[in-house]
Amino acid sequence: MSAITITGVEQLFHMGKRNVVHALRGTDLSVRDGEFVAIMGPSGSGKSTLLNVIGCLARPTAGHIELDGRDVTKLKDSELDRIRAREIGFVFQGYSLIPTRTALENVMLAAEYAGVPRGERKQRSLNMLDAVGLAERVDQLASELSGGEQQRVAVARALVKAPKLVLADEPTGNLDSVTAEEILQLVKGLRTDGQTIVMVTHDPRMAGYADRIVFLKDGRVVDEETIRRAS
Amino acid sequence: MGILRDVFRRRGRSVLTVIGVAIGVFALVVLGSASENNRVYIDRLEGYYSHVITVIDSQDASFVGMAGGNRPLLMDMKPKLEAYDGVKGVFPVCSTLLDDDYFSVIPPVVISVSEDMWDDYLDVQLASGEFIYGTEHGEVVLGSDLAKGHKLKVGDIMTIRGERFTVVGILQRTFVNVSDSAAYVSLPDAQHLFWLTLPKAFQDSVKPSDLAVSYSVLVEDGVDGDALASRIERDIVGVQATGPKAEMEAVTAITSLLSAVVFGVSAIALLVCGLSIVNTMTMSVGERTREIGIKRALGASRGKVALDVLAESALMALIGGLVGLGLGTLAVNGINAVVVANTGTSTLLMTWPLAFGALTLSIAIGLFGGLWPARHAAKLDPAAALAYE
Repeated sequence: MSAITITGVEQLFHMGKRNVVHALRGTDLSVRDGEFVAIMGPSGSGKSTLLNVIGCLARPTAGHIELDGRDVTKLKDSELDRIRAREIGFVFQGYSLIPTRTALENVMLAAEYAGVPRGERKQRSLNMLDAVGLAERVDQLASELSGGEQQRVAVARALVKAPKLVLADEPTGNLDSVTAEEILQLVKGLRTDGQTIVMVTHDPRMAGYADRIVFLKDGRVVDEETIRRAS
Repeated sequence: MGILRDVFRRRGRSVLTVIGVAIGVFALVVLGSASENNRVYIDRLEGYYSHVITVIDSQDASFVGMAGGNRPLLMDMKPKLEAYDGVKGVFPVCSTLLDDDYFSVIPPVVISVSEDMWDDYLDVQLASGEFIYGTEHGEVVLGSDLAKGHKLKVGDIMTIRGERFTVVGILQRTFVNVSDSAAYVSLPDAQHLFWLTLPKAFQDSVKPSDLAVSYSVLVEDGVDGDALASRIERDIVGVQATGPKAEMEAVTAITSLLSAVVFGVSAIALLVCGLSIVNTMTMSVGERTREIGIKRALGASRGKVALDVLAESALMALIGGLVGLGLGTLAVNGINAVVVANTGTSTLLMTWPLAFGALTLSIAIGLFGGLWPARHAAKLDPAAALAYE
């Protein structure tokens, strides 16, 4: 079954009165349940825009996006909030942690929004931080952590709610190659529930961790490549 | 804790805003305590005057109790007043300033009392000692502020216009300035003290025992005091009789002006507080656009994001409110201590409703000040907010 089905999605941005940017031009894409898909393409090809519309952070100008068979383009804002809170985990390039909160509080915030019962939030968040190797740093403010540690917190935050879908936008973009590989190993390793992953990246080595690479250019899927691994 | 850290993320700016709110609430508390003092004063006066008609010489424009230079009435008027239907009692009152050199809006007075007056009319309670019953000589009961101002206790000697008096009682505070700063003596003593203030030529022509400054006419329940006052004024030549309503109007006119000033100044102070919070929270929301985007990405609804902003602005205002209330209460007590020591009259009164009102208002200002920034935060597009640098 398809976890994500994207049909003819268009996204226009009006920059001032006359300038219109056509970020997605009739994009079609289908992602299977449990599949790890990497999206690659040059800057301005629409990768992040595509991730935003899949993640219900923006509504496409035209076309349809189905998540688990539901057309999310037809849902109300409050329903999209709920899907983001409970079903989607985001990992962003700039870590995007709240700097004045501790590592634990950042993870607990996602658990709170996802509706994890109050009594379970802390333990689940601690477990997840432990899983990403930060058991000793849980009470550290996010702003006091290294880049690699912050991204680990971001991974823990994305996975604490056991989402069906993980969306990652250049998750290793700010990290050195060793830390970047550690993070990706971590994401893959923590996919115990068979989550679907869609990752935007520039880095072919990182894309190599995916099951399939989709190439985007000028807002369209222009090519794709399935990674075959020796089993 | 997280919200507190968010509030003080920009410590300097938040502290300045908190100080702004604190100053506003401080002004509200100090001015409000003056207003509270007046409110309690009027409430007490309403009870005090509701069944009393005050009769003075018609050419004497001064308010009864604010003695000094009063034209005397003679004691022979008492039976005439007692003869009216509906009159429960007639109390000749003799009063004079405690000291001619006193400078105060409501100067302390020496005023005569009789046994019946304590219960029927003055409605006061003893803090210590005992009442006097109108026939004693050389004994005085003091209002609370006067005793505090002169540091007198029961058994001490007080000299009034050269005469020695033993303090036999000290009253509980009534919040009626005239009562709290008064010295109560028997009618003969008050008449003698009043007689001492008269010009020498006049002293020779009148005995102290013939003198009264005013008559307090106590009316029975259900009797229209104002109508009876009009009748007394019509019937007895040369007197001015003031009924309960006119008495209250005179007092309310002064106090309502003060209340209006208090309200005006407080409103301006609080408006400035509100604008300061709007400014701080708008800047805060602007700086945290990306953070709002993160929260939205994690699934926070628009309402939740708005609530976070409102909670921060309300918390900032509450902290300012608590600081302002604390400092204001200290100032009220300090000012009262100094004023009572110098004039014998307290002018400020801190009450629970005022404290509660000041805190509630500061939170309301915080919420009001946070409304616009909260609305702005809620309307941010999540994807655009996330991309914000």
